[in-house]
Amino acid sequence: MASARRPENDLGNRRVGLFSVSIDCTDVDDALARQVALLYGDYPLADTTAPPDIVVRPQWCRRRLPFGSRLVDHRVNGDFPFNPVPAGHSLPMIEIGLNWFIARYCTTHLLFHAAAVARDGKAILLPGASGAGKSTLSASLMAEGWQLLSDEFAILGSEDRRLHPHPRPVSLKEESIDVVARALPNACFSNRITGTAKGTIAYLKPSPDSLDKAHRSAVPVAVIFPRFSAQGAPVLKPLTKADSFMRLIDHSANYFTIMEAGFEALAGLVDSCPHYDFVYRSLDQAISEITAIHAGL
Amino acid sequence: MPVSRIGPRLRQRLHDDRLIEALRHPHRLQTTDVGEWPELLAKARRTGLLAQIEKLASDVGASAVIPASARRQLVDAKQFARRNQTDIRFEVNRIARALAGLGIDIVLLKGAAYLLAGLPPAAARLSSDLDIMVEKQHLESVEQTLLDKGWVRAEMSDYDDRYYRRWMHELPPVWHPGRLFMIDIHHTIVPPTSRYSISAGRLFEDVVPLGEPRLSVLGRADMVLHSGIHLFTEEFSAALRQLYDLHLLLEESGARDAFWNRLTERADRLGLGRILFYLLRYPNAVFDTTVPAATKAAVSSHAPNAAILAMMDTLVISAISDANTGTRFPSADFAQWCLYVRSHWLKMPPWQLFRHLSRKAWQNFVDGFGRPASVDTRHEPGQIENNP
Amino acid sequence: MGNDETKFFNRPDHWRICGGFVVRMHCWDGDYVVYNPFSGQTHRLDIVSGRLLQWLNTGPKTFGTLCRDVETFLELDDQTLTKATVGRILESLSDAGLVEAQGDFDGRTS
Repeated sequence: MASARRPENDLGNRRVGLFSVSIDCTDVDDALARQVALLYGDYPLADTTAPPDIVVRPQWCRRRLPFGSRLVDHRVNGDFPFNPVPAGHSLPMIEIGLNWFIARYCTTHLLFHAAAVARDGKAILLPGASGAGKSTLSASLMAEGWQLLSDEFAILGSEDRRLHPHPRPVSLKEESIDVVARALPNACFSNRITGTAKGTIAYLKPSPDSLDKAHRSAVPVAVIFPRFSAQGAPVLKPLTKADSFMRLIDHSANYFTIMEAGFEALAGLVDSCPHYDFVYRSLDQAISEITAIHAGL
Repeated sequence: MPVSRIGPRLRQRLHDDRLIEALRHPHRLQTTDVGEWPELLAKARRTGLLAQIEKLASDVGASAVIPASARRQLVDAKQFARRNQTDIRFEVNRIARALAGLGIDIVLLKGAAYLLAGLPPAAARLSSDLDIMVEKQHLESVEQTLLDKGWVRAEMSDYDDRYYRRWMHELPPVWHPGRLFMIDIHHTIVPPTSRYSISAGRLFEDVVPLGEPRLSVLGRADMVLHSGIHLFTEEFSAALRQLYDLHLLLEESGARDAFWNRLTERADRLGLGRILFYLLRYPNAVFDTTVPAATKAAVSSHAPNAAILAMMDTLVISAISDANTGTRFPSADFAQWCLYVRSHWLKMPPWQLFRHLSRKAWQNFVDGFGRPASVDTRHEPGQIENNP
Repeated sequence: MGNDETKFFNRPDHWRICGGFVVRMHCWDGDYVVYNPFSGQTHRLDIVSGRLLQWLNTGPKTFGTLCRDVETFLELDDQTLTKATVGRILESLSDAGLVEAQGDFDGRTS
């Protein structure tokens, strides 16, 4: 039942912004390993003599369902936080596993569930829940030449008050895949994965520019809460600082845990730049508005 | 007749366990191999001892020489413990404030007691439960007052450990929306359905007041006995943490004059001789806890027969060592543990226990309960909007 | 006597930040956000509650002092209204774990 281990399927330790990460596919088959290599193969190598911050290891589950594909378990730093999934859904689970560990255990920085993009070292924070469209938006901005700091986690330094990049493969839903593929002809996508909770998805590799700049923090110059709405007029509304402060707490993964450090870091972010609520009707609109705001700062 | 030591095979098992070795000999953290850290951290996290490892590493000056990724995870654990301590103190404050009008004494138990009494187990500990004890006649009014003042009863509809709680506590736990603690309200220190029944009045005769009005903790000997009881009534995966807490308590208490005499006296008075035997044996065997020879001799009369002792040794040692390897499926040890220890403790009839175990085993197999596949990990209660 | 007046006569006289801590505050255009180290919780307060908390942050105060401060701040001359307002605010802040009254902290060691 156990497959032979394949050391060549181990990408080694890679640097993903602040974290060193190992996605160890030695226990599973080549197809998954190739997908992981496609998405993470260009990330800078991290020191292999030291244990990485996060190890995600997919492995075949001993338990088998009577019908259907084999299941894969995902070990994250030694534990199994999730139910096993069919082999085809392993890639999303790897991503979820990384997100889970970072969101749950990082206390040295203030983490937001937010996208962050930058130009010339000046960053815009785009807080939003999963499914709010921030992945599509940030991927589209990246297609326009923006640096993608992250589509998932905006990481604010408690001391330096700067945004630290955390570029990860961007998860895009079916319709968005085509949109972004058109805007970014040289884009590198994983295979499409069907039957997930979000329907069909694919992962987009971050641009070479985004990976190149991942080691340098950026200064936040605006916070924009984006929301897509097919009906109604687009609206850009400045927020009061206190309003934005309280909303950002809701979008934070670890504000509560880090206590006064979170309070002060958040106050600093609120103090230092303007905050907006933004309802947009089309991606083009969003891109041009965000670009305009950025240019004015 | 002298009581036999833990056998060599079991002692080897302890020796092979990296986490237990680190707790026994913290200075070895300075020389722990780089490649050993991931497993050590994983096991420590699983058993709730990660913050403790951080403290030990810091105490022996090992922080500078351990790998950076390990150091970061230890620092994170320390912050979690710090957060938890604030939460415990605040919850105790809220409870005391809510119950002030009743004019009754509230005895803090376990984690909250360790923290507010400044005892060693609190330093690097995480609790999500808060246990208080009041006199039996006040149980209802305490529960009602808390419910009136914003606490709510925990959902009992899921067949999970809440079922087990019915055998462990009089009342379902309550919690305050927006905060994270389950408050368990007790009137004694043994499970209500256990075969040991303690006259709670005897516990109250020995309580020690804290600085806060109407709050107190158990007398030290009783606190140690209670910790011993918990060794056998906590979840399997908490056994190592529980044993280590007991070790810290014994080390701290043992320095006081007359503690050991008091301990044996109280065990006799409360009918907990067998518990006392175990709660001295295992910390001593695993962590070399100092126990005076005279005390060992005095409790040897409470030892079980050789066969039961051998079985308990195996159960306890396997509970605290490899059992926490993070494997997907519970081992045979788990079932054995439940069967013997819990049926020993609880008057749960065998068919009930079997049903409970089967259900739990089925749950573990299907694994459909409570394991998230999304990353909405936010569990903080959030702020209170204040607009008077 | 009306409800508010009864409350006034039974009201404790001395108030302080819970646990004798100092809270962290930021204010933007009269909107306050507050971090309470005692509870680890964060609150948003309006301008009057925020000002009141800020005064208490400098040290324990009597009810009378707080009323006089609020009167001056809001340029009120209705003592009953001031007392009722301050009383309500203190009750709210007390429920949130931000402040506590004399009876709560007498005899405490911390």
